[in-house]
Amino acid sequence: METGALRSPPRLLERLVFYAIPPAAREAVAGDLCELYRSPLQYLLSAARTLPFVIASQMRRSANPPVLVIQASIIFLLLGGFSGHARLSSLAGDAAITLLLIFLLLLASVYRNGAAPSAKWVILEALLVSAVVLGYARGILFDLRASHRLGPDQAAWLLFIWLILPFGMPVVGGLRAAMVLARERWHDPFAPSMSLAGIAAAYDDFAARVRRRNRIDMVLLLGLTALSGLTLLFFPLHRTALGWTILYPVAAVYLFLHGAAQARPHQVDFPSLREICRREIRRQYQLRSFLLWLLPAPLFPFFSHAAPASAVLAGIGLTFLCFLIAAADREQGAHAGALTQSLAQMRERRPV
Amino acid sequence: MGEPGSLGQFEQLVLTAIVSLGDNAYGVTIHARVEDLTKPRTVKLGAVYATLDRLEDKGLVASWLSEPTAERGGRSRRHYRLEKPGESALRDSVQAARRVCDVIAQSWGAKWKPAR
Repeated sequence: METGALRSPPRLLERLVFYAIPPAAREAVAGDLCELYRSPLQYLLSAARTLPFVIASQMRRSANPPVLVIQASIIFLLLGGFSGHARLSSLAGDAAITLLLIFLLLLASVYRNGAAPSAKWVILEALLVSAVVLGYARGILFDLRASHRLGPDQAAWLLFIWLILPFGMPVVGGLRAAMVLARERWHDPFAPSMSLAGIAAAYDDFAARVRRRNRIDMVLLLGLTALSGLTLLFFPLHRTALGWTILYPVAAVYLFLHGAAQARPHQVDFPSLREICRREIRRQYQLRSFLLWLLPAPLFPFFSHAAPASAVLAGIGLTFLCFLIAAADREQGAHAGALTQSLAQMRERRPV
Repeated sequence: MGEPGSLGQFEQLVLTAIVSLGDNAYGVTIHARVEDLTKPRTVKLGAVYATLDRLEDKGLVASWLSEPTAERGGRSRRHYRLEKPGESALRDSVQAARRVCDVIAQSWGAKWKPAR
């Protein structure tokens, strides 16, 4: 195997295949394909046969089913799927669009794989999202006015809010940039070469941070449970409040039972400890990501309105809320991605 | 993370390949060894990667990147090795396979000649 690949694929072809491989597997898979290179055609066919497996496997790895369920519900809500007035055929169409969008989100997360976007890029993203929302809201408003489904008062109010929207763009952009700045202040606890004792200490620090974070999240979840319970006292048949009164304590109990980082075994060598760290960082990221989407979830049903005027406002609000949650999730992912990358490339420094 | 319970047949083959390759276990060599084990069947390289990912998620194998090498276009290798749960899962699988062999040998007697 060592001598097989003195010839290498044409530069352009190699670049093409390299960028088609999901980043998490890029280095190793591109190198393996390069090692097996015999001719451009063989290289291309080999890449075409290998890539679907690699992409599917990375999708499975980055899929977080509870988060996907919440995201699918939000998309379905935005499409009007929960309005209660839709026909079966339109519901099926909404469900198909939702599934397609979820697939695309998953694919995007595989290719992003914890890549950290720059402040310039995220501001551009925020402006783009705001512009799309603005354009979409304008289209809907004019449609509603043309079909005389808005009263004169409602139209004036909606137009006023629509005119305020451009001023909200810098706020959204600023919030997003603040998240990037917070990430840039953070330092990687894993150096390129560490001793077994060093990585053990870094893991213990990580486990202590996880414990603190879990306590805060449990308090938050229990507080929200109490709030939902209080709502139930005043509105006994409030279905949403009933749902959260059950779901939040379940999440708190899960966090109590399974939220802690795996205990570090006493007798463990460097590669095994590195693997434990990598697995635990990924698991904790998935847990945080779920909580990030779960905690504001009771707000989502408030964005479901049958009345056309409120539906426009609700859609705008929900889009911005989801944009910020997704941004925070992405920052957490970038953090976890940087840590796992450091771990994969780390070498053991042996005591002299 | 999946449970490191019973292994599928392909997972057993991949774990066996990793054990037999020792320090030289990475994508290309594992694939070649699995093909050796499954002859005359061919195995896709992508299927080996997918299985290695699954085994890693179950905590049965550990992986790390080596230094980049020139013959791989300056890319690193992802090396694999078995972890303790992987060793015990493979041991359990081998014992189960042995029991299956014994039962078949008893039932079919002389007419059964296992392929080598």
